[in-house]
Amino acid sequence: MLIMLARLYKSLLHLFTPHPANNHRPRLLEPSLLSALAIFILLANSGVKIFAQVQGGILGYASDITVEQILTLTNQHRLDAGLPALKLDDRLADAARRKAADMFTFNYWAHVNSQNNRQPWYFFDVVGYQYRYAGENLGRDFGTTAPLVQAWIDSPTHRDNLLSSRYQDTGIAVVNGTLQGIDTTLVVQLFGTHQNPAAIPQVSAASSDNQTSDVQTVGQSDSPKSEVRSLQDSSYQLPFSPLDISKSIALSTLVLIAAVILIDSFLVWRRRTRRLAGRNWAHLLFITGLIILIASLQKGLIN
Amino acid sequence: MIITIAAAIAATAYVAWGIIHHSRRGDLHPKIVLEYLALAILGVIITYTVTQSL
Repeated sequence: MLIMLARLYKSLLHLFTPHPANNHRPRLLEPSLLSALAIFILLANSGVKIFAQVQGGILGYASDITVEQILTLTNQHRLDAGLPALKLDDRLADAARRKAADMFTFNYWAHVNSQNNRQPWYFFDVVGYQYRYAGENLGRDFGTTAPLVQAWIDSPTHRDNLLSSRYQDTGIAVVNGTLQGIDTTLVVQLFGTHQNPAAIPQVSAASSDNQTSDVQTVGQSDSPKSEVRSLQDSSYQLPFSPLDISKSIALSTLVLIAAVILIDSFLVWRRRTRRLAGRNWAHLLFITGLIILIASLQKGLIN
Repeated sequence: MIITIAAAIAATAYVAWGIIHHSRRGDLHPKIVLEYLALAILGVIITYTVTQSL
């Protein structure tokens, strides 16, 4: 037992610190081990994606976003601003689903479909929502609802939609699909006020969708036409986000390498070792740049 | 994709710098080139895997 522990200790020492036995260079920094690490990361990432696909059935990515949460947070912000809560409208929800489907079908990330010039208001008309005011917010690649709604709040144009006193109804769609080559969850939130409030259909507050995607927002429309309501797609919900896992694996690996380089630099400096190796500070600079880049990657776009 | 390309450009510059630097110092060795290359490739792969999850 003791011999095994001693061997393990020695192996770890050679893995992480410079030593005559490893030619004064931690084994972790050797090209062969770095290559093995790269292969491991590729395999781990593929494993996560495959697991997500098996669990989700459609996408390699899943989020915890739900229509209900979006509605709750939206109305929370509205109430905080002294505005009345929005009602979930079935027709707007249907319009939002149609808008999301249109975006996936024509593979675009914009308020207007440039291929057939469909405006967001087109979907209001399709579902027969005669609007007095209409607006659209879009989002994608968010893992949870709160950052998505916060992104809208932080954007003046999206905030205007969320916190407009003109709107009475909303429709939300959370739909998974492949957009521009990326598996994602698209969130469409439509806002509207019916031309004749008395004619507004009963709102269904029950919505259950869990997905992640990008968010886009369209400016308010004053033109008296039809409104768009949110679509909702119900699908699966996974207890993790592949982005978070990939980021964790990536950052852990990079931080570990950076730590080994720092230890190596210190020990080599202290022992005044002379050896043939690359510049540690250059490696550190490169790795630090990657750490900053990856750490700053955020899921979620608003438009 | 843009992020991965940016990482690949940075990695290429890093390897190129390493080769030039050690060449000028007179201690350029295939082992050193491999070291820079391995780290650069690892960096690009890591960035690629993360961006694929976006």
